[in-house]
Amino acid sequence: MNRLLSADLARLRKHVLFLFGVSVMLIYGIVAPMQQYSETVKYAQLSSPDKLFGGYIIPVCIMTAFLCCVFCAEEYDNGTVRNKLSVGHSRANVYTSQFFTCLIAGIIMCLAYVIPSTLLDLMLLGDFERTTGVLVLYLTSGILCISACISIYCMLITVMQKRTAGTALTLFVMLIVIYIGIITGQNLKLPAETFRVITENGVTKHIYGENPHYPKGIYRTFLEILYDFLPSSQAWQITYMSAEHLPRMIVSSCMIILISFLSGMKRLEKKDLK
Amino acid sequence: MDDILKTNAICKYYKQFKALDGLTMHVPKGSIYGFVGRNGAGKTTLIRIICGLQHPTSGEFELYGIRNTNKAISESRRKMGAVVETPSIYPDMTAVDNLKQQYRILGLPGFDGLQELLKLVGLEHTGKKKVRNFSLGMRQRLGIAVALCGNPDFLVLDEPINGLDPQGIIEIRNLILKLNRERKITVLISSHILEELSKLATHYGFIDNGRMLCEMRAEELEASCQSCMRITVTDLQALTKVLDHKNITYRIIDSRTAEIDTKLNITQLVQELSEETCEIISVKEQERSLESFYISLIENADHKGRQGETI
Repeated sequence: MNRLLSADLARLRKHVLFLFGVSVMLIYGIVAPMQQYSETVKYAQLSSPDKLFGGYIIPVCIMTAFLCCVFCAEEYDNGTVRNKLSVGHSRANVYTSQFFTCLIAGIIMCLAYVIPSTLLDLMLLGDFERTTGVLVLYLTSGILCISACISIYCMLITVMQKRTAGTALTLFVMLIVIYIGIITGQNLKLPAETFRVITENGVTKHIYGENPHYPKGIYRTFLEILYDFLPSSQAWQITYMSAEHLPRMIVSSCMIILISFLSGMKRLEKKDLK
Repeated sequence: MDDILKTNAICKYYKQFKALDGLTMHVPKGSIYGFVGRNGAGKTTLIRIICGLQHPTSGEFELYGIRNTNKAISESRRKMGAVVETPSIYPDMTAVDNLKQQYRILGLPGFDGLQELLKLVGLEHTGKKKVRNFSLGMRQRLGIAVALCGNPDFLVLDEPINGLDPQGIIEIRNLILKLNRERKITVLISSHILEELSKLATHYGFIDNGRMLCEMRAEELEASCQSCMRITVTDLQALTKVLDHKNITYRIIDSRTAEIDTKLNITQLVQELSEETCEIISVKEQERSLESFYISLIENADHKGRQGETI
C-alpha cells in the first residue's frame, strides 16, 4: 500500500491538473481578501473576514472532479493499472491508494486557499467574528465534504474506466447533485406565510395566509436532512458560512465516504480489467 | 518445480460467451513458450487471468507452484513481468520516469539498474522525450523494460510484435532471445504470427476456441513438420484405397496428389498401386511449415467438434 501511495504521489506531484488546481486556489486565496479589503476601503464599510473563509469548497469540488477523473481513469485507460496488479498488488490497495492520492490533492488545494486567505484576512480585515472552534468545525466539515465528493468520483471511475466517459459521467452526476441541492435549498427557504395583493374599489390590500408550498412535518424534516446530507448543499452552506447543523453535516460526509468507498472497492474487486 | 505456470481446466465466460473452455497448459521453467492461436482464440483472456486482471469462472492455475486461490499468489506475481496487449506506460512521462514509477510500485529501494534496463531495450538515448512521441516499436520496448523492472524470472508478452515494422520485429526477437539466454528468463509469448514464433519458441501451445489443441516441444514440432510426403499418381482413387487399407491419414491436394504425414515404404506402395493399375508420377518429401501444421490442427479440431455436434 505504501509503495502504491508513494508511486501515485510521485505522479500527482507532476500532474498538470493538480499543479493548475493548486495555483488557481493559491491565487484565489491571495486575490479574494485583497479585493474584499479594497471594497471595504472604497465603500467605507466594515467587512467580516468570515465571509471568505469557506470560499474554497466549490472550486475545489469542481477541480477535484476533473483531477480524479483524469488521474484515476487514465490508469485504466492506458493500462498502467496492469503494472500494479500484475506485480501482486491487490485491487483494494490500488483503489485505496488512488482515493488517498486524490484526497491529499484536494486537501492541498484547500490549504492553498485557506492559509494565504486567512493570513491576509487577519492582516487586512481584522479578527474573525466566529470563534476558532467554530472555524475549525467549518474547516473540518469542508474537508470532509470534499472527501465525500472525491470518494464519489473514485467510485464513479470504477463504473466508467475510460477517461472521457468517466469525466462525462462524473460531471453529469455532479450536476444532478447540484440541481437537487438547489431545489432542496429553495424549498426550505420558502416562507411559511405568503400574501395576496387584492385591489378593491381602487384600494390595494395585502391578505396574509399560509403558504401552500411551504414544506411541513416529515417532508420538511426529510428536506432538512437531505440539505445537510448532499455534498452540493453542504458546499453551499459552508461557502456562505450559513450551516446550522455542522455536526450533522460531518456525520453525513463520513457516511458518504464510507458507503461510496466500500462500494467502489467492491465493484473494482469484481470487475474484469483489460 | 519444473513448470513455472500450470493451468488446469480454466474456463472463462463473458456472459454467454465462452472465452476459455477448460484450458490446460504447462509452461516449463527456462523455456520460451509460444502460445499460438488465431484472433479471439482466448490467448489474451488467459494472460489477463494469469496477471490477476480477471478471475477465472472455473478451473485453477498455479504460478511458481502457488495456486491462484492462495493469497500468496500476489507475492509470486512479484517475480513476473507482463506486457498485456498494449504497453502499459504513462504517455506524458519520459522513459526514465516510467521506469522510476514502476520501481516505486515495486518498492525498490533506489533506482539502481535503471540505465542498464534502458540500454538493454535500446532506449538509453531518449532523454526528455515524452513517451507520447515514441514510435510503436519504442513503446513496445519500453513496455518490456517496465515489465523487466525488479528482475522478474517470468515474462509474459501478449502479441509483442503486433504492428511493428520488420526492423522492430527483429529488435524485439533479439531482445527476447537475449533475455532468455543471458538472464534465464522464462518467456510466455502469445502470437498469431507463426513464422516469427518459430524463430524463438522452445515450446508451443496451440489454442483454438478457448481449448488447448496440443502442447509440444520445438523439436517435436520440427519432427512433425518434416515427415510430410507429397505423392502424385495417375489414379488418386487407387491411392486413397491403398492408404485407407493401410489406415494412413492423408490430405488430398488436387485430383492427382495427396499428402501424408507418416513415412512409407515406397517399394511396397509402388507394388500395391501397380496391382491397382496405378502409377506413381512423383514422390516428394517436403517440410511442412508451422502454418500448415497449425491449419491441420485447427481443421482436425473443427472436424472433431462437428462430429461431436452430430453425435
